[in-house]
Amino acid sequence: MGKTNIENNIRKLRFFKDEMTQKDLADRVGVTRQTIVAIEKGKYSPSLELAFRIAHVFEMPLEEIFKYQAEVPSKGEDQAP
Amino acid sequence: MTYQEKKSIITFLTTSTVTLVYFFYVFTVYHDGSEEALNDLQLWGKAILILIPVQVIAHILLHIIFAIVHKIATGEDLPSKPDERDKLIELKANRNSNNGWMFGFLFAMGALALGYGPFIMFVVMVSAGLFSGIVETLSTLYYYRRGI
Repeated sequence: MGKTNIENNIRKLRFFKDEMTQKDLADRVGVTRQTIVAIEKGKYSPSLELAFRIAHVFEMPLEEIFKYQAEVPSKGEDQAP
Repeated sequence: MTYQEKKSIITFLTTSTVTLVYFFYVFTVYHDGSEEALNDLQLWGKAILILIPVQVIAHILLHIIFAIVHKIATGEDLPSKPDERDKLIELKANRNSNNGWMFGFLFAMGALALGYGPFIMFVVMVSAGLFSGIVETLSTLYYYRRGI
């Protein structure tokens, strides 16, 4: 819940794609505007299919739009007992 | 507040209002004041079965009215169908609601085990239904606001 480990630059890509609105993008990929808002804020991780549809709209590979931030283990977790 | 959040609140308010008014009506009209009537299993069975279509009709009417009022007040088009995020939130909220009702059911069985009559059992179960509605609404609001 809350922030996910997946970051994205959809907001920036929308701006560079003729200042596409969230509603436009939502209509093109088949979701609501609120879902796009949640994805941009990192509050929702899209499904694989939705991620591919977004990548298809921007004509870019998936990994250039979405980046996975692995969790940094806290001190003591990876230390030998 | 999004349409789905408002709809969730309306659903809960409809369910709880209809349930409370309905049972108040049933037990003021059909109850003769005796303790036997409170523990009349047939009365409870009929009341709960009739409650189902009453709830369905109330929900349909209120959601139509809500959709019209929402469109007039905000001018926004209603979402045509829930997308993957809406469905996921609905599933998670439903799961939480079912867990809440399950605890209520266990409390109802506990009341029977402690020697209380069917009246207490049914009151606890109906209350558990209302509680699970609260849990579902709060879960929906939480997931829409904080993310999933």
